[in-house]
Amino acid sequence: MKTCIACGMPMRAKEDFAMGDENKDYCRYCARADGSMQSYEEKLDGMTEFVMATQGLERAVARKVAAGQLAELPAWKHREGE
Amino acid sequence: MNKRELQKQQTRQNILATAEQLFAERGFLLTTIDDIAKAAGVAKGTVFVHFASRDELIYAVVDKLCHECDRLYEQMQGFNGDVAGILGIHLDILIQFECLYRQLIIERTHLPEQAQLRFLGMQSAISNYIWLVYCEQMQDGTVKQLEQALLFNTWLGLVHYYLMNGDLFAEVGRQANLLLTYKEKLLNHFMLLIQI
Repeated sequence: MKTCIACGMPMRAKEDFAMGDENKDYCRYCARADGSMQSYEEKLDGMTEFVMATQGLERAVARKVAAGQLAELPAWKHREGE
Repeated sequence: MNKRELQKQQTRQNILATAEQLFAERGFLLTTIDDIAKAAGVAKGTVFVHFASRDELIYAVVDKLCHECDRLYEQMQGFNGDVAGILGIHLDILIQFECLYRQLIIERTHLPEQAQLRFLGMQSAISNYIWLVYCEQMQDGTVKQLEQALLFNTWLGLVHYYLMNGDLFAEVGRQANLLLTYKEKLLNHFMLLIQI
């Protein structure tokens, strides 16, 4: 089973993949409307909102948690300066 | 992998497993590198060959716990049952790691920041798995309209309270199985609170 390189979500069903394309390495939540993968900033904003919604954390703390999550993922692991 | 590399990996695993056991028994803060080295049967310097600092070792143990939980939480993804079912799975997973998890939530604010962030990241995924099931039942009108974070935090409030105060709810020496003892009681009570 593949996991999304940009957010870590396990992708089981065809519809979990970006544009329903099982050859893609990222999920539908990490794709823009045109099917391309979101940028780090877009993902960090989205993940921060997710952490806030799921645990009610204060924004600055949620952003740290989100950045920590992203740092472990293949898409962002080797980002320079992070 | 040659013999030397294999041996090195085994030593690392031994240190990690020993640290995990001692952290679970005594807590992260009271366990020293000396304690871990002694219990693992290695020199103190050997621990530092594998883990550059105490913080790095603590992170490795928390990361391992989160990986093992993540693997089990896959049961929660795409779960077809009801809210009681998914909360039961959550408790079953915590039961497997109860002692280490208890120390983690008691001492969290004193742990290295990276270890805290790793743990909090995992909690968001769990909250979301529970929420997806909850939303379906909310649409059916069988549970109350609640906010996601507060639903999760109220649930954790109950479970963590019992875990953190195990000495109040179990005989001495029986705290390790606290959640197993209280699983049905806590689950039934929580369902009474949220059901319509």
